Amino acid sequence: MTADWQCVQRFLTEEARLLDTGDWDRWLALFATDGMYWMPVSPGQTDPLNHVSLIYDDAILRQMRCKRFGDRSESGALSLQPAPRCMRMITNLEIQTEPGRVTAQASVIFAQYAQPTVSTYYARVAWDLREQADSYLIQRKRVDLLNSDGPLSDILAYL
Amino acid sequence: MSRIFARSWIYLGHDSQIADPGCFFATQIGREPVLVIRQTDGSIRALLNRCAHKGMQLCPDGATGKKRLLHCGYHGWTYHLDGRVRTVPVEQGYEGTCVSRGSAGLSAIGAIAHYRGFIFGRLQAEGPDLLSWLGPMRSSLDNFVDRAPEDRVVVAGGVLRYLHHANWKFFAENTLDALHPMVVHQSAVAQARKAQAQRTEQGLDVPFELQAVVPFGAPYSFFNDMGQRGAPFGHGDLGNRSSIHSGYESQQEYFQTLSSARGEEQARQILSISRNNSVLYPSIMFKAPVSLVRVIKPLAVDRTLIETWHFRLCGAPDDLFHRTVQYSTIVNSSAGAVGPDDHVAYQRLQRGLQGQLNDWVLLARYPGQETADEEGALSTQGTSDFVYRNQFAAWSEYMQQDAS
Repeated sequence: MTADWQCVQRFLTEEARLLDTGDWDRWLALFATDGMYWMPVSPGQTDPLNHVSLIYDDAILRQMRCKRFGDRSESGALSLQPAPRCMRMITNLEIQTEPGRVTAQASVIFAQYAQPTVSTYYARVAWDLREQADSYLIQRKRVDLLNSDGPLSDILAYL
Repeated sequence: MSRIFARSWIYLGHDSQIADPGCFFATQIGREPVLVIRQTDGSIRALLNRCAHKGMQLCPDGATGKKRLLHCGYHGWTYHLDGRVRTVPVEQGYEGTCVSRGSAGLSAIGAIAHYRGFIFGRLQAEGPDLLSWLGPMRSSLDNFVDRAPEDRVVVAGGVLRYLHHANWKFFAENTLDALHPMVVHQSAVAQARKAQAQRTEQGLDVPFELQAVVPFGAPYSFFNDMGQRGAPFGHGDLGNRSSIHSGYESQQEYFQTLSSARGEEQARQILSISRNNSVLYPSIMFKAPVSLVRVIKPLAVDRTLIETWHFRLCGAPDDLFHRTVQYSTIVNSSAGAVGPDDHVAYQRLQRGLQGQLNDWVLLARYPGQETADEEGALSTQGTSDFVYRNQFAAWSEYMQQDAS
């Protein structure tokens, strides 16, 4: 086990914790300014422009969405009141390193409790990471849900 | 299922999904699994998707592809594309029964018809022809295709399948509901507005997704002014005068392409029609201005599958289709900033209406103010409850006929 693997493991666990606890500002700061978050619809989908996605967010849309997630006021979203509770489990982590860059792949189990229902989603997730000081910046995060093209009910968070 | 979905024309899909002979897709009409297949002579047939033998569904729901013959994976019966029996393994033993090569195998549904590429089917043979049933809604469907410089649209860009835990009628009503967007979607709108203001202040371009979400928060007067229409059989449009799509930044290249194809005046006329949501009751809602169709598939009394299909306008620049994709991703996706809030509303409507002690809901707004338009639809202000009264009049009529 190399130091790189452990560093990536620590980084991704930290990312999951920020999402689990709704620490949106710090999560947003993990991305490069031109970073993308992508949840495709079709397995093997290569095109986010000519093909619909479940989520395809640049920095502007990520910020908009996170502000919405964080809005606990009276006018907050119906689907986010009370706030869904989420838990992310990351496993089977594999990495490939190049100078200054790391590609990480993992299996992720995501549980979402939106009263009164717990929904579970499974995904293969790929991160393109850029080394930055003693940590990383996310250049691209791609979330391929196991059933991305099947009937899906609400997904109320970023996986 | 048997009184409404079996009697009405139901949207099955689009011509472009089955371009060549043998191309098929599997869908449903109410409870019935249905196969829609392009025949060798170019015509289209809709057959019940169940083997004549023991009734196994031949292709799973949603399946699509191209076949030379239809095959049942249970006992190996095969059928011609038109549904006639082709082969039965160990044929001997069926002598003297209704089964033989070439005999009727897969039953055709009652009726099938298409209009400008959109394919509709009906389980029941008797009933109005498709054009009479569409009535004044033809102009809404026309506008969908008229927007294509080459007068043709094709399915493209994948399908969103959003499972709703509520009755199908809530969706059909809500898409014509002009009094909910500024309430239900206010949190998405508030954040989109802030982001839009920031970008504009910095002199930066505003992503189309923000342009798509912001108009959901337009004031009541805006939604009232957009107007609505109700037509026979429960159909209706919200936005026969203007819509949340009217204010998008114009796309010069597209306008020029459309103008050279149809003439500038005609192009302007086509683009001036910007109907927000058009419902062909009970199975389809479409948005001509952003080239997408949402199909209503009831699964149970409190479960409905909503599929969003996207269309490329032939001859239009790619940019235009990118907008369709961006709109759908941010609005119609199960992970979208708009759809999940509507879905919570439907679930709570379902819960609220489960109670038995109050029989009433109030659909009383602006009674009797409709006027007939030149196409024979009844038109009134956008925030009227007329479109729901019109849907429920059709519902009531379907429900009062004896079940087929």
